[in-house]
Amino acid sequence: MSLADATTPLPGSIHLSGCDWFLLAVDRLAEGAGPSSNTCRLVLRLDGRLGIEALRQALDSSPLAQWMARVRRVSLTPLVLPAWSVGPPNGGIPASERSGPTDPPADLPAANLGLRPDRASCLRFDLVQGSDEKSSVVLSWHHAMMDAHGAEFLLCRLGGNGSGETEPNCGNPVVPNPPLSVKRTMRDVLSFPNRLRVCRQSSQYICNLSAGGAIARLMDRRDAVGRRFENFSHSIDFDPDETARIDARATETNAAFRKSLFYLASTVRAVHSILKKRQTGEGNFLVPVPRDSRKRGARGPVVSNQSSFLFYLVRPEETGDLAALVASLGRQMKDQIRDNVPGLFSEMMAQFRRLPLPIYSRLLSGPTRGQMASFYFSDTGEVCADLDRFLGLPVEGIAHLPASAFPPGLTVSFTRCQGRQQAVVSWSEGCLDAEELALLERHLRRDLLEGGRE
Amino acid sequence: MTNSRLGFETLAGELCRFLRTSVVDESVGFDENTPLDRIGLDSVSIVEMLLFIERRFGIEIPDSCLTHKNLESVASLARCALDLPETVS
Repeated sequence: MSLADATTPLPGSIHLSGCDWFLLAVDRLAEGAGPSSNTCRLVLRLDGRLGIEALRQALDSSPLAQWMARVRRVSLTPLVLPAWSVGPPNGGIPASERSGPTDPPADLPAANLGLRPDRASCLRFDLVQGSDEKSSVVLSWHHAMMDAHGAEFLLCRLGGNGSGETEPNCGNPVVPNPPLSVKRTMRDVLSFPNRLRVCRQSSQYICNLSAGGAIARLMDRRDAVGRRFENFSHSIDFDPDETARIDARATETNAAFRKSLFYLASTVRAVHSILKKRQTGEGNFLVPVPRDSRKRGARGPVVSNQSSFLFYLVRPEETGDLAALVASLGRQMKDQIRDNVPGLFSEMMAQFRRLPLPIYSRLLSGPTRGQMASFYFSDTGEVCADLDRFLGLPVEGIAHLPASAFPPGLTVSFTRCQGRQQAVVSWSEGCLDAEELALLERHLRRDLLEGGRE
Repeated sequence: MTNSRLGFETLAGELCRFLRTSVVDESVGFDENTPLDRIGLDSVSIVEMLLFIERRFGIEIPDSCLTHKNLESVASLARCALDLPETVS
């Protein structure tokens, strides 16, 4: 049991964060377009066979895991903050075992894992035993419950360095609700006009009202009515030498300290190449990029999404030159941080928690018909840097498989683990074909490894 | 004339204070010589730091100065800022 868990009792309920509620509203937009739209996965590849009993024991002895298995999003009346509330004891987090290839684990559970925030566990474990004395632990979770960093912290607490939840600086895994206070309530009421202004300011980014023109996308929402999508993912792996070359190319494009922008610029150019081939490459790229709101070096909280967003807009004519595109994205990043856009957007998401989901979804979908992004993008940086062993076995590799929500139906996620860069492309059925996926990979490799040179 | 009149101690001290209060978790120990990548700073955190220098001291650090050497630590960034020519607003 961790120090934090031992000293801080976990609360009976907590409010959803603004980002949790936002993701549920976005998820609602995706309804009818596949059941697994907001399921994320983290895969740990282990050197050795982990027994299912050892995993179950780690889950059963973790108060945090037990707590997470029991919480449900409770239905509340409009204008009351939504909450995760602890239900009666149940069987804990589902964990199952099967055999198969472990690198990567093929045949991951079917799309519908039954991760339902309002009626079932939001996370589950699958243990895949390979024939080569290796195993993979797959953590799947509904994105509304936690973000990728939260999942990483959960794994560290469950099995980090062989001794379980023992890290002294973990912090509280759950942020408790602030105590009720008349003063705070009055402040909320009095500052309502100010908050309204904040909402109006920040909503322009998501509605893209100022961008003008169509949003570049791989599939129109109207073409997807009535379809039920399968999700797919493909991992583009770089060895340590290639990773060093990527760093060198980032430095050459003046992105040494902002590699995320180098990755984003490369991804925009790769997606643009597909649209050009389809002869539909005239729309602007709008890409919201999550920004972890935790302080740097923090090891918690685990539960709830702690993210805000930066919004990048790229016109098709800007995609020609990689270095110029990185510079343009750098200016957008600086301007938005100067204007405190992530803070304003967080505030907006926090305010909108009082809206019922159907209304919130409708509000989000109104101006853009639900198409809020050309694709989703994230760069989680170095993942699980301290997790070199899990429940006693050496960790050989980690992969983050992000959710691929439709719309837009394409997510590209960059992570680095043990000195190896990885880009995972996740897409919804119909958004990319095999030839286009190959084109995307070829362009990404060319930009990342050669700085855009042929 | 450069910004050196501000003094290294002042600038580095203010930068460390800013990082401690606004950017870096209290569990992370560091001083002006700790490598920034060891503190876990990402690109947004570095931009936040640059904007703090701009806001607090009126020094705008151009992109061309954002090299590995200058972004090694708070101390190297402070030295870079102090060596820049003073701008008259």
